[in-house]
Formats: sequence, C-alpha cells, structure tokens
Amino acid sequence: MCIRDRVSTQSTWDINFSKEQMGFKRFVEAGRVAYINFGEDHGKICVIADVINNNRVLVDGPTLGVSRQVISLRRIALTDFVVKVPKGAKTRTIQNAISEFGLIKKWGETKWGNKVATHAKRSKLNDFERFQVMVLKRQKSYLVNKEVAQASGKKVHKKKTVKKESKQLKPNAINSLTHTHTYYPVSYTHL
Amino acid sequence: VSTQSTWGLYFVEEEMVKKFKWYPTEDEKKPFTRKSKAKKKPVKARKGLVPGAVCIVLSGRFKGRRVVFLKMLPSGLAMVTGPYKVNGVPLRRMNVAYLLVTKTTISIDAAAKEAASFDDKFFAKAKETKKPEEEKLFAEGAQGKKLPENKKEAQTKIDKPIVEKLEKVMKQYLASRFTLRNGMKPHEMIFQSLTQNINPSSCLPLFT
Repeated sequence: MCIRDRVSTQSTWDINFSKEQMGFKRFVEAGRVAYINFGEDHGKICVIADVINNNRVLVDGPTLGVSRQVISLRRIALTDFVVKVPKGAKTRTIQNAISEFGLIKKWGETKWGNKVATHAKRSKLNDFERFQVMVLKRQKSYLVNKEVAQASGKKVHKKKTVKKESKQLKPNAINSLTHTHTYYPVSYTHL
Repeated sequence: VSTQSTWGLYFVEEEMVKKFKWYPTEDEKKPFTRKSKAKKKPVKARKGLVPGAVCIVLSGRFKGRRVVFLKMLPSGLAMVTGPYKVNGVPLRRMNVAYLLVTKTTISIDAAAKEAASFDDKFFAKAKETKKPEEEKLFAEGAQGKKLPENKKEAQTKIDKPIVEKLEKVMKQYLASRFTLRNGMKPHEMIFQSLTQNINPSSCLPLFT
C-alpha cells in the first residue's frame, strides 16, 4: 500500500462527493486484486474477499497459489484489477470469478505482471543462461543507442568489435531480440 | 615432571639422572611422523560432474575461466581443458574442490575417447637432475623450458573434436571469465539447474 492510495485531495464532506472525485483510484474492496509484497506468498496476486479492519484484510487466491488467509494491508499492493465478487465470497466463488475475468492472462499482459515474471525467471537462470542474457542486453543496448544517436543527429560511435558496420541489419535479427524472450518487452520503434 | 607423590617424583628423577649424562642446550626437533597411517580417501562424487560439463575455475592461475571437464584421473584430480584455442587453458589437472560445476554440458564423445588413454604420468612434472647453479647458467642451449611436443599433440588431438562442435555462443561463453559484479549474490545464483532452454541458435549474433 503506497502513500498514493491513502492521501486524498478532495474534501469528503461535500454533498456531491463521489468515489470518482477522490484522489484515490484503487480501493480496498471485495474483489480487488492485490499483489503480495512480503511473506511466504510474496510475488503472487490474490483477491480481497473481505475487509476486516483498517489494517487487515481477508484474502484468497484459489488458482493463484494463495490460500485463504488474513493478511496485513502493509504486505499488500493494490492492482488496477477488480473482480466481481460479493463481500465475504467463498473460495469457489472467487475461483469462478477469476477464470471468468481472465485474471491470470490479464495480469501477465501488464507491465507489472511482466516484471514480476521476469524477475522470477532471472532468479532461476543457469550460469550459461545468464551469459546469454548479458550478450543480448549488450546487443540490444547497442541498437538502442545507435537509433537514439541517429535520431538526435549525433555521430554514431564506431565500435571496435563491429567489423561489418556497413552491412544492413536484417529485420529478422531485430525481431528475434524483441519477441523471442519476454525479458525485454521493448519496442524501440517509438524512437 | 610428574604430578605424583614426592616419592614418585624422586624415583623419576633418579631414572632421568641415570639415563642421561648430559642434556642438550636446545630441544631437538623431531621430524613429524603420522602415528596412524592416514589413507588417502577417494574423492567424493560431485553433483553434475560429467564428461563435457562446463566448470568455473575458482582458484589458481586460471581462476574465473570456464573450462570443460574431461575425466577424473586415478589420483583424484580432474582432467580439464579450455579448449586451448578458445580460452587459453591447456590440458591440465585440477582439483575438483576448486571447480564450480555448472549444468551446461558439451558433447565430447570423440574427445572422451582420446582422453581415456591419459593418465597422471602424462601430467606429472619431469624430475630435474640436480646440477650446480653455475652449470645451469652456462649450459649450452639453455633457453628456458619448452613445451614438449607430445603435450602439444595431445592438446590438439583432444581439443579439435570439441571446438568443431562448439556453437558461436558457447565459444563466447567459454572465452569469457566469471566475475561478480554489483548486485550479484553468489549465494542466490544457480549453477546446477536449467529451468528453460534458451536455444543458442535463436540468439542471433548480429555482428560477425
């Protein structure tokens, strides 16, 4: 729970005050999908089933690997997703709602979800795999820096290791960098 | 000096006086001998140490290099090669304790056959005949140690089949050194598990 989730710029006593007018965008409510930051289940997402008090929340993640439990709000970060679930919903209800919502897929498509997955992958890499990632990073950064330099009109530094710089880079090579591995959800076509 | 009764002490002193007529001014140093003949224990089996396994050398002249394991020698040492053309590590014996075994393996079928004939004798230092220093200095044609031909031949014989099959990424990998940089936690790094197959051929080398 970050400070943004708590500070409000609007007075709550106005007559026409509505939820949308609050500074907050993500609320602690039944159905809110939360990311667990700390504890045994850290790195996983779960659904808030019920709010206990100011500090605690009942949480469940049936297909997400989180058992139904009480968790402190300090260990949680709210996501943008809300699953339609009545307050105090049982595990089976939440499970159905999750599958209907397509939560796992949607979470995987977000930047946040991607980052989490990437970190998890990177922590399990072999020595050789780490080396391959390093090489790919190097190649990618070279391409990116080259594009940036060209866009800003600066001179492109000639790398000593590059022998055939006059050769045109094949489009396949660039695609393989961006699409083969999920480490780099990067598109530098915006440059 | 005994801690027994004065009678016992007296007795001991008498004995001592009887035995020695004179005492040396300094204690004589005895050469250390093992009382129990400790037998050399066989080297423990290492997880993942398979012919063709890539290992990281942790200590010694070649520390940080990534090296290919060939076989275990009867002395308990591991026979290992760079390959020489790739990273400058020759055919060598190494202590398994100083090898970090990774799960990456290279196919070394042909090389393994060649390596089978090698023994500790091949690697052992040739004993130099004792000469006075002056003779050594003025000896004709003394230009320093040269690598004997049989070692050079052995190196190429074993390395050639290995290097032929190496992919470009693997060559780069073996040529590189293992280092720790900022943020790298060795106790959290994994060397023995392969979670996914990053196909080396899909890592297209852009610059050849």
